[in-house]
Amino acid sequence: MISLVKRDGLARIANLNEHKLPMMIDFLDKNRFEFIDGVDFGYAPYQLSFIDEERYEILKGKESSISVVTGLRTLYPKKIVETIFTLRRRDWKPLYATALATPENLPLLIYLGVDIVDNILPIVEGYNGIYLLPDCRFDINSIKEFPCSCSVCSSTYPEDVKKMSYSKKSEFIALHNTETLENQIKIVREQIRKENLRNFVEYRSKVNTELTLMLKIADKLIWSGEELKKCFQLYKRSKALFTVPEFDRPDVRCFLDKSAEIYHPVSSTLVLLPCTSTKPYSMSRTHSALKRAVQLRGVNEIIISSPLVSPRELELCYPVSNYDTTVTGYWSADEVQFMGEKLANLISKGDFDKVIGHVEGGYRKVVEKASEIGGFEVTFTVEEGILSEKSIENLRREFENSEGMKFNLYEEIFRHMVRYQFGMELDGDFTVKGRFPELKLYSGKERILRIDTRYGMLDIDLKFAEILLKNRKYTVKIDDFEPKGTIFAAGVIEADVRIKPNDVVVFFNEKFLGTGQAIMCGEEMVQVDKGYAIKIRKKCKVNER
Amino acid sequence: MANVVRKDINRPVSLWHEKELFNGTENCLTIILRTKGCYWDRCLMCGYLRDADRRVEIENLKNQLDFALSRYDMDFGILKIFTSGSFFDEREIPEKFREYVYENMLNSGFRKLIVESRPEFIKKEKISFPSNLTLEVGIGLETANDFIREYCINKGFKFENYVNAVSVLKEEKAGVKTYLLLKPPFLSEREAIEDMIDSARAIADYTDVVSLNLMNIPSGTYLERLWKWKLYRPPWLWSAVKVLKEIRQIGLEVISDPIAAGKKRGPHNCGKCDESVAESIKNFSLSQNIEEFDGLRCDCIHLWRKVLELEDFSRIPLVR
Repeated sequence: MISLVKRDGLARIANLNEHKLPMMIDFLDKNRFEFIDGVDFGYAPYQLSFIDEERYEILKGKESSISVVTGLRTLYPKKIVETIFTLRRRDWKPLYATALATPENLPLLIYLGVDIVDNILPIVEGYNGIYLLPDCRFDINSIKEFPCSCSVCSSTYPEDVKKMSYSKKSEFIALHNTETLENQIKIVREQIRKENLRNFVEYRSKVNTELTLMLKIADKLIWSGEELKKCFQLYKRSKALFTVPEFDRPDVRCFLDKSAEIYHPVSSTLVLLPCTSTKPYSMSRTHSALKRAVQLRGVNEIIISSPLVSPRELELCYPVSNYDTTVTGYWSADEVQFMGEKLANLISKGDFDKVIGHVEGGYRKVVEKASEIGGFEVTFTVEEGILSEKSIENLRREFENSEGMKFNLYEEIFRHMVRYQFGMELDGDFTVKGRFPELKLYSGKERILRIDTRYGMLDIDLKFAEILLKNRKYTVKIDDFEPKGTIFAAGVIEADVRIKPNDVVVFFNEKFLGTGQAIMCGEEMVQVDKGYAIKIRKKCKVNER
Repeated sequence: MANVVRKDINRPVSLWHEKELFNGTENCLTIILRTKGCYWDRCLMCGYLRDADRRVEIENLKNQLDFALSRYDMDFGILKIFTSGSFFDEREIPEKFREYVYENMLNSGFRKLIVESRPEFIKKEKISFPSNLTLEVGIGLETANDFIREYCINKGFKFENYVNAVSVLKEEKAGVKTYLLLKPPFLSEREAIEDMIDSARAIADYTDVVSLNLMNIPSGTYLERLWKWKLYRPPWLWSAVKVLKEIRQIGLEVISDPIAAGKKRGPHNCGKCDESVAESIKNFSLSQNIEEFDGLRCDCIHLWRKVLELEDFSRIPLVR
């Protein structure tokens, strides 16, 4: 039975008997994979279901503890993605796609939710004389020196391999190809542990138009329904790398939609600023110099970037808190349009008398687009650079002529992040302590929340856990036992379906209450029988509070 | 309309002469008759209905036979009449025409007749023939496995129907030739080989001869669609060689005509060795000596062996 250890989107590390998923079945050494004998591959490949569903129902393999999908290789890339998602939505069983993986497509397949692959194609390519590497392929006869130091390649030289008989030579390449694929699986497992698979897949897909296409299709499909979205973390330890503006990346779409939903500015003056490469933005040289020169108090700020726009209040929230993008200074018409729409959307949430655009170049184009869409006036203040004396003077003058509104930015940060993370309002009197960005929120003498800068989210204390429990938000009901260290799926009775991996959750039973970080999604905790569900952070006995 | 060639219903679909085994080798005249077509017409790989014509009546059949019998100036011992359907199906071949065939062939010096029929038409009253004629009836059993015959071929009869038909033929002293089909769709290369060997064992007590058909892909068929979707590849010729050897070693007489061998729509290997392997299959069919296959050699046999190992799991062809 499968037992989850770590989830990163649809990809996961899990134990399957003595094997570790994601895994490769090695058909050069099949005896190591006895469980294969218990799997029914059926007669007809999965593809037949598109041509003749009735016959496929008769000729398909019988249900077993592993979902097997055969024949996908000959499908169009788009159809491959759709098929994997159809199967992935069905259950949490290990998904085995036969004869589909190559070292090139492996990261993407795992990202899409495939758990088990095999080396059938690498073997066949070996017999075709094709030498595979993670991002390219060579005809064995054209190779002068092996561009690989695997155990197979280090044992000989190309000229000796070329002299081998066909069967020896084929077997040699098949072994190398297999080792290359297996190595990719190890890399992917590490990327999952680092929660960095998305960035890795994006970069690896770029060498191949088909893979790029598949990733784009996947983004569209993931966003169009709830079933797959639930597996994608909102908060991560890894930096989001936007190498090319990818507007459909799940993390980007999620932030843009959710932030616009919860943004609640209080001032009547808004300043628009360009992004900085240092995160959080406030810690950057540019933003802190501006703040030193002009008292940016009592006004709301929105920071423009690509593919993100963010209110100052959410700059500690993932992925705004931790991303990188390629800033060339050139903005495409698509980018200007997309970011302009998103900015106009955010601005429409406020009641601003004055909008000041302290931006230039492409950023200014975005603001102009937003003002065109939103139908509001913008005063631009930059001349000869953001930090030039003239620009700062212009900004200062505009400030003096506009009405501010006294508010505590740090408190607003907490209000916005609570709304963003838990979908509720922070109620009562609080004080913020700590040094930015390591902020903590107190209610009286008791700490209730703190910013978790590793993940770009809030971490909660037991007092806040009680509030969540009362509101039945992000709660997990567990069996009657004292939880220690990790809560396993077997011990979960009920869980909020909103829970995604990495979310902060509240667990409880009659005797215990505590907080922890989800490893699975809520639905998964309830449906599967094994695997890590929650990593415990804090706990107490109910009657001691 | 221009460019439309109407089928000539007074001429057979095809006609040729060849050597056949019958107390040594003899000249055989083979006629593919144009009939109203097979009534079943549902087998996944069948493209024969293209040759059929609903206008064909008994007079046209007689004209086709007359044309064929007068075509070659040779001494023939054997006559093969294929209809792409069933010789004993009244709708295709009226009884009067069967009598016409028996009479005319005996008059022309033929001593043996080979025909084909689905088992449901092999009834005692239908198959009566002159006692000075040797009759051999071919039945397209395809496989002894009912599941494969039903769902991978859609043949529409069972093994027990075949067994019953054979016992009728034996009673009437007619010979039995059983067609087996190497590689129905949805079987891996290895499963296809195994299916043939199992089938040969199952029919060893019933049949006089096994005719091994190597799948090829006629246009307009279900099978062709699978092939175009890259879900099907015709069998390797190496598989045919393996099957023929094994069936022969069971002690059966087994023949095979590798139609379209070496073509992408027919049974093929790598392209380099196809011709020599096909040739040895033809030679073996006449000599029944498995040593005909000795000395066949090509690198692609190693790839074929890998395919046998792996296609059970891929469920789609791994090599063109």
